[in-house]
Amino acid sequence: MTVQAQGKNIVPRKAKYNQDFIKRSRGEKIFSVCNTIFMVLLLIFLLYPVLNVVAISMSSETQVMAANVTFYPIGFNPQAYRTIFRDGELWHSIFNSFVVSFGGCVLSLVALCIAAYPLAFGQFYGKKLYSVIIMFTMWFQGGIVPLFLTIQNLGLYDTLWALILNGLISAYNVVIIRSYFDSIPVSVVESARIDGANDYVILFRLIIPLSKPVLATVALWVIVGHWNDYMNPLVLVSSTSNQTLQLKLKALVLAAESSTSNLSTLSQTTDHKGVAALSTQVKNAVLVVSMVPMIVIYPFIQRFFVSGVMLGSVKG
Amino acid sequence: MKKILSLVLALAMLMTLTSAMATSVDEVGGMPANWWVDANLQPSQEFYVDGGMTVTMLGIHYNQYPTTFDGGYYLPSVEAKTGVHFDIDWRTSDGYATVVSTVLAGGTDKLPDVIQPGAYGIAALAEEGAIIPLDDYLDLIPNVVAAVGEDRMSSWRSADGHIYAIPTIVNVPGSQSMTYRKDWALKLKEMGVIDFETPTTWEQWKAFWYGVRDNDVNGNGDTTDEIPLVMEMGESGERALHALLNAFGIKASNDAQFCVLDDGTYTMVYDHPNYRSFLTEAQKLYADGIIDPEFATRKQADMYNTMSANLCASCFTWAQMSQTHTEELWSTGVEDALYECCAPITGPEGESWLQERQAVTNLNCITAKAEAEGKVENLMKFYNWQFSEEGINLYNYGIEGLTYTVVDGQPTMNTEIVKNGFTDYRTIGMEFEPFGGMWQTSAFMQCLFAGETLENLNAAYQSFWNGLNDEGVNAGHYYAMPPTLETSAYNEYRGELIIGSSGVCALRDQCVAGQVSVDDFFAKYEELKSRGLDEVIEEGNEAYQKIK
Amino acid sequence: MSTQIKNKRSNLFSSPKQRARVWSNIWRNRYIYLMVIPVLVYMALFKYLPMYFLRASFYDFKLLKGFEGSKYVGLKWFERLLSGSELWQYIRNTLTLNSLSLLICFPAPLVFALLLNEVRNLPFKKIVQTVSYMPHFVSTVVLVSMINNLLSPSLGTLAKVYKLLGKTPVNFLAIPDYFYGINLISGVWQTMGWNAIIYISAIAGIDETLYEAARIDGAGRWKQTLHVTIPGILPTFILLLIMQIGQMLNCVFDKIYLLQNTLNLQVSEMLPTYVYKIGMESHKYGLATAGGLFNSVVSVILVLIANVVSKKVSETSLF
Repeated sequence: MTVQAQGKNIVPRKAKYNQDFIKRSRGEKIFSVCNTIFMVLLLIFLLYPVLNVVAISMSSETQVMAANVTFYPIGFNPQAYRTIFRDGELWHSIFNSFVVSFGGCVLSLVALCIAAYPLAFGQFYGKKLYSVIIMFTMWFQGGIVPLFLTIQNLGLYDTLWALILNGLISAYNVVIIRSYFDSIPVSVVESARIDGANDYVILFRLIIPLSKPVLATVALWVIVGHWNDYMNPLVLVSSTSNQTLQLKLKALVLAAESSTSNLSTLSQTTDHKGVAALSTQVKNAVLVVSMVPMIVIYPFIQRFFVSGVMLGSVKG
Repeated sequence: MKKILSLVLALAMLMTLTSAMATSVDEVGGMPANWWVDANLQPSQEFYVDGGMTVTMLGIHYNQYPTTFDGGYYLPSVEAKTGVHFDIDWRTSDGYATVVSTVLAGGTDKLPDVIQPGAYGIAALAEEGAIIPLDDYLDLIPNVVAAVGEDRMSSWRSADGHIYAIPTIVNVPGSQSMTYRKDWALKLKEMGVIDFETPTTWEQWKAFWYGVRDNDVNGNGDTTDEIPLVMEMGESGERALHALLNAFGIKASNDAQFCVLDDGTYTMVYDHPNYRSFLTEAQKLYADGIIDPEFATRKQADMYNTMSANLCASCFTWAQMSQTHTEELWSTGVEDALYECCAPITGPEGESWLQERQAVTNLNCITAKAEAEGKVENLMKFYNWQFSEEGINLYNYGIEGLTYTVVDGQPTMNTEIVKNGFTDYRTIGMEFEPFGGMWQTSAFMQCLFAGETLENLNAAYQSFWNGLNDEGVNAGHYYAMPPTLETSAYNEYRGELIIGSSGVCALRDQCVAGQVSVDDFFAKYEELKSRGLDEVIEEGNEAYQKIK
Repeated sequence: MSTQIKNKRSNLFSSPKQRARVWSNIWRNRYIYLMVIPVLVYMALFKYLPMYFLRASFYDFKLLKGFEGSKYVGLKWFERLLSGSELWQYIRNTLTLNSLSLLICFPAPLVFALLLNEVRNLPFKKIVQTVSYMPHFVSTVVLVSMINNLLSPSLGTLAKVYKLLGKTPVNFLAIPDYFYGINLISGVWQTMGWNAIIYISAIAGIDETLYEAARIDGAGRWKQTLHVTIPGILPTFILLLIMQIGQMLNCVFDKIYLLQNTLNLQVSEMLPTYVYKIGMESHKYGLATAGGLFNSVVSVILVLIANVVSKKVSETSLF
């Protein structure tokens, strides 16, 4: 609780030690140098895998195969990007991921607010039971096969709705939003009720506008979660037209060539967008493209990071 | 600033997206778009459903065929000739079993009329009651029965003795071959490391491999990067080591799990008397750096990458790969490169074997729903038509006058269509294997020669030709693969005891990689047998004796 | 669901007066119930229906036949799970990985936060911090591809380094000993920066006067860190630690599944991946469901234990 309270008003502490800079001892100076070196190494450690992917995607075949490519492209060759821009299935899967991430995000936020409101502001019979019913799902889930059977029985298998609805209300997010709602004075709700507003109106007109920080944070989680999700699409979606980006990525980048077994005479032709025809550069270009949307929204959401993590780490 | 940058990025993505959408499909093989519409095909004399019939189907699509296959000539032509309209739900083989699960969970009403079992397996579908045995309908499909032929019946029948599927038949010579870098062998010979050009005995193969390992044959200044024997794992590890297994006289099934012993017993390969020497030798070759260090993780595409990266000294793969990768190496400046197809690896005991192409593959099953709706008879008649001369010509050569003409009683394809080998042929939609049919040697050869004669083919193509043709390097080495019989014990235990994490496949790989000793391997195998593999072997043998 | 609750509740109040009060409460809260009901319907369909399907663990479940047509096999699947040594191996694998993760991935953000706090150049500090968040947004599929890029013995950067040092490249992914290491390092890469945010905030929240007091007492920077900063963020650390222990049996399915191959299966197979393969790939739905159920039950027990500990510790040391 206390941690959460701090989270809301974090001001980066500006150089706590600047004032005694001059008084630094020799040991401290050595430490400072070592620390800077360590941080530079850390920066390399963090950036290298990403830079390597970008570099490979733009390098020439021979350099890639000779494992010469490290931080920057060698023998610049953007051919790989031309190849993937023509792959309609890839773009379609990106479109699906957008639909699931952003559509799922909007629906999730509405549903989560509706689920959390009674817990925060309702005094009704069954509240305890309602709370238990929601909380229980945080600790105990059916597992993969029952999930598959459920979605199948609801007729949602192989639809994007399966992905959106399955993650619509998570107990964890309900708890987070509820605890934020708790910090809003009950008098706000009470006076609105006296004015004759019903709870839906209060929620959408009063509470939601007051809860922007927490909603932005949860939105961030939901979007990133959907975008990067691999397991749920793996179990719940099967057709090419419904596959999400991560499935497509797996098929393009990590899967074995899928056609041959004992049937085919030929395994690949050069022009078709077969898995086998994919060179290392193309694979890496696909990885780069898949990362772009997250990097694009990164600056917009960065200011929610702190509140996001603070909320996330302190349950209830 | 950052926001502007990201907006620009997003815009750039959108623009490329729209430009990607705008790209149109080029015409292939000299055929204009929708060329078959002009053919004005007439209903067949042999079989036509008056009033038409719609058949729903669930099938697996391979990537070398156009994915928008409804744009191809084949299905519209089939409909024009027979009145049968196929409404096909194509899926990729990745995750196909799950798709089948879903369809099953929807109940009998939701089943398609025709279903391809794929990785789900015929036995599992039959056990569910989803598909019907075709034994009672055989008199409706004399063409199919004749196409399979008496001696191939055992690969048509399932473990329970019933026939469940309309097969697809590929009547062309073998498709895979051992291939090695001829130019490297010559180089090693020049250096005096070896005294032959083509390895033929076990000692020679070893000399070649060790020579490659110790020398910088690709001339890039690094003696360690060449991989003497590249291996790929196949879809689920079934192909790893298969070529080497054959060299020890173990004539394994397609998934490298079953074999038939000399006395005619059907059992698992691990019970073969030579398996111990195979494992021992493989373990040593791996430790010596001969067997691909990545054999357990290398996917087919990765294997091709090593071929085009000038790293692969020998491997077992599709014969055509020797041609494509030789030409690819030429284009990257390795002018004397040559992947030459050669006879399979000869083992220490002189055994040298190569799996015969599985000519009969069970593909399309008729579901209980089709039966309930009374569609089976017409479906059978349709497939019978597909295997008639008319159907076979449409499948192999296209439409007479447009894509082929009959010369001396032999359908001959226009040069435009075969000039790029198999590429255009398949893009147009000919020999549409995902749908199934019967592929003819002649069509295959016409593509292979691409309108040229054998003498005019370049070295790369000649190698391909040698790997495939009946009198080529593999002649006399072929063996007929025993089937993998999906008995109920097999279905019960496969997930755990065969391909599971402590199953025998993982054990085999771990043993080759030296993590498990050969003795431990057999001790653990005995334990797996007592936990259920015994039943798998017993039931498999029983079924085999019945259907062989 | 909600009528049930109402009936049950109203039966509890016998006198008419009290009953009237109950009804008036329900009427007053009618819009609240209009929120509760759809949520409960959702929960029933998407969270509790799967629990109903746990029934499959007692059947030789066949999809087309459903529960009516499938054979009831009692505890067969549980017996098979418990009789083999695999189940315990899977659990051991998960526990090993999570224990190592607790030792390495878990303290890494704390160390990073402390060291970052000592960086004086503000722009540099900001760059490091911003970059450190980035891996959090990289998906598992991409992460595994990067791992393959770096570790491939033929094309990888690490192989290149090995060759420069005159050593033979190693196929790291095929050696069980490296499996946990790869997991841990990639885990640190992906989570360190993100998880450090909480510590960085906690450090920012420490009362400035404590530092001044320490300085007056003659404490250097090292002493200040030791006696002010670390005690200041220790409660956060302990709270997170306890919660982490509750997650000991959970594993990141995606990463484990995508990094598996036959040569590392002895250490990389864990219950969730086993359940997926047996169920979705080998169609033994009954067995898979039983495995999943077992995993869920053990997880719940662990969480409950952690909660009890958390309560005890929280009372004494956190608040």
